Amino acid sequence: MAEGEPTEAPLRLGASDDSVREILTFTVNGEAFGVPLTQVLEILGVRNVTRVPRSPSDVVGVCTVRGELVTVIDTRQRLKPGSARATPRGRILLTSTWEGEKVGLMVDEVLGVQRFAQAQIEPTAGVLVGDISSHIESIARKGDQVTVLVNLDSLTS
Amino acid sequence: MTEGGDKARAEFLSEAQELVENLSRNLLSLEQGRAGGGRVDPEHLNEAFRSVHTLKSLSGLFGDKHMSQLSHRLEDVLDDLRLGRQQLSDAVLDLLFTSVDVYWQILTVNDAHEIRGVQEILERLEKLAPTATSESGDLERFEIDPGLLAVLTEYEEHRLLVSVKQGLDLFLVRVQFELATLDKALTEIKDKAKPFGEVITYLPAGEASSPDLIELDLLLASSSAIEDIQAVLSDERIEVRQIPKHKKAAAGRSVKANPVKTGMPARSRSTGFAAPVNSPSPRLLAEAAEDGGIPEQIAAGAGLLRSVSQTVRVDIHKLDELMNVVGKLAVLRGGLSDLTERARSDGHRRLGSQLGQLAHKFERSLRELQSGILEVRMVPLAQVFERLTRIVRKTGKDLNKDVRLVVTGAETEIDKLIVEELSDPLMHIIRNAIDHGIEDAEERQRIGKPAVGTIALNAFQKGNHVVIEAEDDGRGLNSDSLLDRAIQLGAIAEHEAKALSREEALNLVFLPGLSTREQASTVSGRGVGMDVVKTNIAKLGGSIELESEPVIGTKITLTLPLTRAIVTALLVQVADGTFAIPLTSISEVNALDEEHIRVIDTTEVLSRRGSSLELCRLRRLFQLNSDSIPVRQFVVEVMAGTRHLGIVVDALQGQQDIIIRPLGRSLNSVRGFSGASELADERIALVLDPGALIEEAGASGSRDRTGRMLAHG
Repeated sequence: MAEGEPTEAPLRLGASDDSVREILTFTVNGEAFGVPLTQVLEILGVRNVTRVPRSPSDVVGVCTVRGELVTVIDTRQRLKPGSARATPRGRILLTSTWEGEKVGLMVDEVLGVQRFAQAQIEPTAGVLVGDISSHIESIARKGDQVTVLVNLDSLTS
Repeated sequence: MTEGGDKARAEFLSEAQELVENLSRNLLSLEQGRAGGGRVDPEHLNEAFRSVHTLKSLSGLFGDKHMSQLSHRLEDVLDDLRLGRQQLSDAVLDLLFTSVDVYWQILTVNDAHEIRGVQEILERLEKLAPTATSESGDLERFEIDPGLLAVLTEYEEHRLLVSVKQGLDLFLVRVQFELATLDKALTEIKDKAKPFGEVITYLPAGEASSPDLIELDLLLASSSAIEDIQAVLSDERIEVRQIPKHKKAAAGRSVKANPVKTGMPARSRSTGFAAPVNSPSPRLLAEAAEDGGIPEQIAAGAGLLRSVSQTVRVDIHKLDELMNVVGKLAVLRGGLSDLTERARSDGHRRLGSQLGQLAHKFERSLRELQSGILEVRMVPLAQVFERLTRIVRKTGKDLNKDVRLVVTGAETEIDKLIVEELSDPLMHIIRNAIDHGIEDAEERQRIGKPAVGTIALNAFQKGNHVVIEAEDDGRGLNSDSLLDRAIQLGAIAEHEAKALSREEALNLVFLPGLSTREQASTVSGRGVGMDVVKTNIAKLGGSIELESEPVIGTKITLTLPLTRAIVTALLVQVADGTFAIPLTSISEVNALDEEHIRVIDTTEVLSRRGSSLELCRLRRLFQLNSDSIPVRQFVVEVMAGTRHLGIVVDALQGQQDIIIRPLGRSLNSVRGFSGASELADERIALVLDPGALIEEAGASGSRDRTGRMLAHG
């Protein structure tokens, strides 16, 4: 293997193989979203988040996790603009950006882990337009239930 | 590759970087030696050779093709130089410096395809044909034991010839050492002999009077009189003898051609020496070798290809991790103090005082640990200054300007992470100085300046800060053209421009996109320089100031904190938020006396003791709301460089050592903070960036005077 290449390729949604995807699902303002389970480091409970004056409205603030500083993103603002600003409650999904920065995603409720076959996932490229579209990678369907799969790289940046 | 592979590669890069720095340093010393009278210290050449040799092995090991090829070729050239097969000319030096630049490219450019110039430099190095041939004729003037000559390595022979050509006398110093302390004794005698000249070689003479002793002959080339050498070196075990000159040189006999009487094979380089010349005591040497590699030690003493170092290479992030542990211990200490207080107030006085003592000792050790780690992080500025010397050289050449860099205070130490980040800003400053500041030789002479321009780089420690001044004797900044450009860019209005003082006008150079030149030059580029420099320095917690006089020159002063790893901060409260202000940037703290506040335009200014201080109410700036504003507030006076600002806060919460952590990418655009820190009680304090706040106040201040006055009416 070439130097510097990770041994394990990051789990890519919408990739064309037959494997089953494990998706952590959560709700934001009543709607179901999902991220690859492998990209979530930890689910944090309620904790104090310190607001940063003059920060963009989609940033809740900062908190520490075992000494490390974590920026907490208001997932509502990024995924459902116009909805009320999240209160520092709910759950925080701790993820890591490709640059190694720890970022927390404030969500209303964690639903659990669901497995989707590749056939159940439809890419959304070109279907959606607007700011949010860049955060959304694909849509997973199971019966009537629709889960919007989120692009973490875009959401956490 | 695995994480281990990345780690190994990171270590490889950092070691290679050190080696290239070392190479560059020695090349510069060589150049200076040449400039200062032509005598070149062979040690610098040897050092350069050693660096490249190690680079060659390293890059081979890591499969870095470019670096390996370059090192290979370069090693040959340096070897030729060392052995006198090649003359150290300006052209050769240039080529060597170019090689250093190519090394830097290889080290810093991630994509191997983007590396340019490797093939070209390889070809140029290849074309360097040996220019000098060794001549041994001069040697024949001396009555040197041919047996000795026969065992000289090529390098030693070359050094001997050089010494003889310089008209030096040759001395044979016969010493007797105890085998057990040979290593130390050899170093001592070498150090003693060094002031007189060069120790060209030493070999066992083999006439030791006891099996515990070894006798060596040192061949010394020196211009001193034998009496002087004897006075310093001689004692009962050391005998100095001058090698006499022949009355008449024996014609037509070259040393090499002269057969060695003993017929012994020449010394092999691998062990330092294989066979003694007059071979009286092979037994002794064999024993010595068995005793624990004494020939090896002699080889080390000869200083070839092996560096003796007591240092350990440590990844700076490991030190960060250690510092995190210190942070966690500080939290524990906080808990211990609380417990002590509780014990005391609950009436357990004995327990309380015992706990108190424990907490005290804990605190002391913690401080020692902390300062120990900080000390390890400190490196001399020389690391970055050396790179600058190279840039001055190159930029000067490119622009056809003669510039010399005078460096003082290179030994000043600063945090490794800060040094890393200083290189770009300083490079910009220096390039700007050469490109825009220093005039060309013709113009300089016309106005009576020396033809060679000077850039003085001066560093020193000042309290908890390190100050770096870069001063050139060029034409100075033209404030009028700065004003014109600022108006063109729409940064200021024309009537505002008139109101600016010269100092304020000069500071316009820090505005984004402002360059005093219409034409972008290839060296310092379009006006991306100074605003980027300023931002980068601010990110390090430092500040930048500029003074400039027409015709006389420009001086840029950087003030940087000693370290970013841990800082002592004053904790303050505003509304229900806690903020930390680094103590190093605080000049004074006072209770706020509302009576002395005057409002000029929309800016509040506190006048006291005849001076005035612009105020910044954090509550207003950060739009922090709380039910009540305390009756008594405080002013924390902060400074950046020479500028001051009074920050108004609700309450003071004492001092604490904090570790500043940068805010994440989503918060990059937020101004006024240098990071956040977890406090001993596990709360988070945002760390204020006084430089940025002063900047902001200054910027809005000048705007308010003209722009918003009416609106606030």
